[in-house]
Amino acid sequence: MNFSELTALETGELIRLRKMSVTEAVTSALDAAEALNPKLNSFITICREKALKRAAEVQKRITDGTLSSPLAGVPVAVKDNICTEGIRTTCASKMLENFVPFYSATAVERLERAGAVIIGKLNMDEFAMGSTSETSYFGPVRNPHDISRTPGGSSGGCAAAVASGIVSGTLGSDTGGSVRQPAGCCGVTGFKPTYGAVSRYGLIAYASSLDQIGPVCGDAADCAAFTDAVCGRDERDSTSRDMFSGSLLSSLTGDVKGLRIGVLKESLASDKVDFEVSAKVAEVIKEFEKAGAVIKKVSFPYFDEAFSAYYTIAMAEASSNLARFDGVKYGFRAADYEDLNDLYCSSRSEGFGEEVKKRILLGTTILSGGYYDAYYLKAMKWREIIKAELNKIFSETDLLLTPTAPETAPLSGRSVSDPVSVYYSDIYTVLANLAGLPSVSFPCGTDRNGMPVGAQFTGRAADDGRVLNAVHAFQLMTDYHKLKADLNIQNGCTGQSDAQAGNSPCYQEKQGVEKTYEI
Amino acid sequence: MKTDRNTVKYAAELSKLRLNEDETEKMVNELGKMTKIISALECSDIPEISSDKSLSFSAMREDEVNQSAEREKILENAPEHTGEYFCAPDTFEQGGAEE
Repeated sequence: MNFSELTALETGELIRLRKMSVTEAVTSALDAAEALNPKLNSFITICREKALKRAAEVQKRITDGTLSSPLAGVPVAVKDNICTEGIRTTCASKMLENFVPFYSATAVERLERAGAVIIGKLNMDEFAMGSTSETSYFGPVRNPHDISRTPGGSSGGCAAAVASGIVSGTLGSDTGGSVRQPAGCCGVTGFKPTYGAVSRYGLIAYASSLDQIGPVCGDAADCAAFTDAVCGRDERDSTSRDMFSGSLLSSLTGDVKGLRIGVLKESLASDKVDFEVSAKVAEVIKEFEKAGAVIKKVSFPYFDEAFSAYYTIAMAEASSNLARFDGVKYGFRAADYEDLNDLYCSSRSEGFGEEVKKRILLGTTILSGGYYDAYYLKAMKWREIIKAELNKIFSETDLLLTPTAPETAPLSGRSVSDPVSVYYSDIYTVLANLAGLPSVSFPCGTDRNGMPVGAQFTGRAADDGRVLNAVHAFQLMTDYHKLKADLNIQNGCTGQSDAQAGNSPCYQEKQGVEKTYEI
Repeated sequence: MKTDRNTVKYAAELSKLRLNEDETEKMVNELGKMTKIISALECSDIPEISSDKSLSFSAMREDEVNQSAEREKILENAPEHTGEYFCAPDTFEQGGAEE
């Protein structure tokens, strides 16, 4: 059986029907993770021992009938900024290199309660600050479709792990597109639920008013199942709430007749968007027209302001959130210091990477006396205007269609050589974060280099079911989501079966990856 | 936004980050590039809208005292601790004022 081609729901169903054991599924995922990590670097931590122990426990509960859930026994992985009790959670930073949380995030608790088995923690941009997954202290993540390219970011490890078939589903986080943009780059489906649908308790904060935990999976149905498992009110996050009347999975009818889809003129007829990306999104429109959806052209005049407002708010909140890392309570402490102030300065200067420092410095400047009114306050006002403008669009349409990003996955090194262009890859994703709306990226074809193109639907607040149903309908009509990275040919890796036999070149290289740990 | 050496040094001081001369120079350059991405706020006039706060949400709950975690577990991640407290360098010099 080829485990790497199964969706999470298919794996769960085979386990339920006793056609596959939990240990088989988990072992296969662990073997694949270990075999492919030297090439992709998608995992920071692989926890074989813990995962196998838990697989046996979950199997027992499934067998004795005390656990039944669509995700029971399914191997999953979690972005390394989401706390996992007893499993190192680094945020891809030297600052938290040895941090082992004594509690799990609510989303992790709930995913485990549904019977999922965590096999490891996924690489990302340091503190989720980046769009290429290159700012990680543990080295860059590579795109499984072409390892000379980035997987997008910041949840690049999530997208790479799913695109390469290591796991069928992951939990990531999305502050300005960090679930959706890498999903677009890697040809998988990434969903940011409405703000408040999933508790942020245990998510290491970047920008709290924008952050949201969301799944990166192979298709919309898996995204719905993951969101169903983790959503709902949590006393430990006052912004969380019970948002949906039924399960999202049951809302996936595949019927889009009469659905009103707004197409943003500025996002397709623009010199900022690669022509192949525009062409693929135009084909999405045709598919929906054929299925009976109603297409409307709409306009959003404030992209530049939204983009500036997003980065202003994100950096301001980051500078405040990251003040907690002081070398005293947890995290990295410098070896040499003279007094308390020196301890703070040395620990933070040695513990944070360059991109994080840049954002803290700019965020601090934005919040300081001379600039607060001119930038932060203005950004907050623009945020309200952007919400109002989007509400206006949603009075005439049900969903908004844009490309996920203006171009496909950039070549590695772009975040260093041209950082400003990397920031612009978030231009279509930040709107949903500013307004707290549900938004999903899904694959809609490939470009001339064979790299996946992502399209994005955004919907009204709490209308997550409709957003996912549109993608589900598209995935019933097309096969783009089934395109898997051809790791055998391109990366010279012989894949799972050889890894299990112990003779994969990638498997042997594992010894050379110094910063991947077993727990 | 001005991103000269003084701005960067002041922000570093407020952020408890230490930059040497080379790093300061590099940050001046890098932050200069980053200010471009927030520059749309500088020249934009803000249109009037009727504010919609419907998306703002924060649930209230009873203000009850709960133990969030055990002290021992919290201290396990501390770089240095006494078993009861976090350890940090002295804030005040040892010894009292002389009579």
